[in-house]
Amino acid sequence: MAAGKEYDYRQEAKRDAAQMALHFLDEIVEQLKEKGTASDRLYHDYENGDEALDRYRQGGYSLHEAADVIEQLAEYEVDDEGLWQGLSPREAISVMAAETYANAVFELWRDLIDRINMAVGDNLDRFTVGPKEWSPHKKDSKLTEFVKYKIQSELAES
Amino acid sequence: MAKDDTDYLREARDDAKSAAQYFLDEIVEAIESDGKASDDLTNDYSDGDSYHHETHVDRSYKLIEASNLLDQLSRYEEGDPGLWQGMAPREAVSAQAAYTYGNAVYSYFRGLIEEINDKVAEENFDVGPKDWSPLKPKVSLKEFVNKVIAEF
Repeated sequence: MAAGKEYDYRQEAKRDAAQMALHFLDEIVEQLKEKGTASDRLYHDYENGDEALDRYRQGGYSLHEAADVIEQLAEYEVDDEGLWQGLSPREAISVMAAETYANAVFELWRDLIDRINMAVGDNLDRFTVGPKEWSPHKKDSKLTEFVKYKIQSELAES
Repeated sequence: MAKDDTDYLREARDDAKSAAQYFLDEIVEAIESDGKASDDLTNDYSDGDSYHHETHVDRSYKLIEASNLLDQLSRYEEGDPGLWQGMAPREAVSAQAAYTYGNAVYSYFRGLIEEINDKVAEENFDVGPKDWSPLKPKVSLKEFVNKVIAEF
């Protein structure tokens, strides 16, 4: 994490969301093959989804860094007072920043899953996905490559 | 996000000078009667406590402003958790910044009063309960104190 006012935490959160999608690439593709859409329920439908998100819940932000994270990612701000009860203002802001950043990664990951589902839906004839139509013998690798391409496009943009 | 380039040290110093200007008559009266002025802004000046709180403490800061202020004025940082108990982090940091700024102004005010007392003593003004004479010196005590404040 870079210190300073110029650091773009939104871009970093987008990159981390794409990295998390790459981490779950096989599961996303499996779900697309089986149901036609991938789930955005990270905690329930992905193996160790909570642990994957924990990687992006880093503490130890300085007051300046925490202020930047919270200002830049205000729309993802976490407001659960139980998380910082009894902490000093500096510690509380640092925890709030860490939770806000993780929440941003989570929400941006959900957005990405949504875009993948829409893109696959728009290209059904190329992949033949869904519970009834899917054939394990054809077009399997094509779907994986397509989803991977969508995720990597996100990484390239961020 | 808006940058905050405020020099809070300078602002605190300027506010301390403004406070001394505001209480100039009382400072001069104290020197005339006791030989020195008090540095206890909240207790020894008329409505000093409310003046200090309303003018220097009772402010709210955005998160980025509060973080800059707390960095710049770290030696004056307020550490009484009772002042922000139960507040959300944003409000708590803002409150800590506000009290920290108040501490900084108070500290500068004390430093300024000490300087005024030292300079008055050096200049041998005929002040104090026994020595004060109504005969006017070349430069009035009030003018002299005012000059010390301006140069602080």
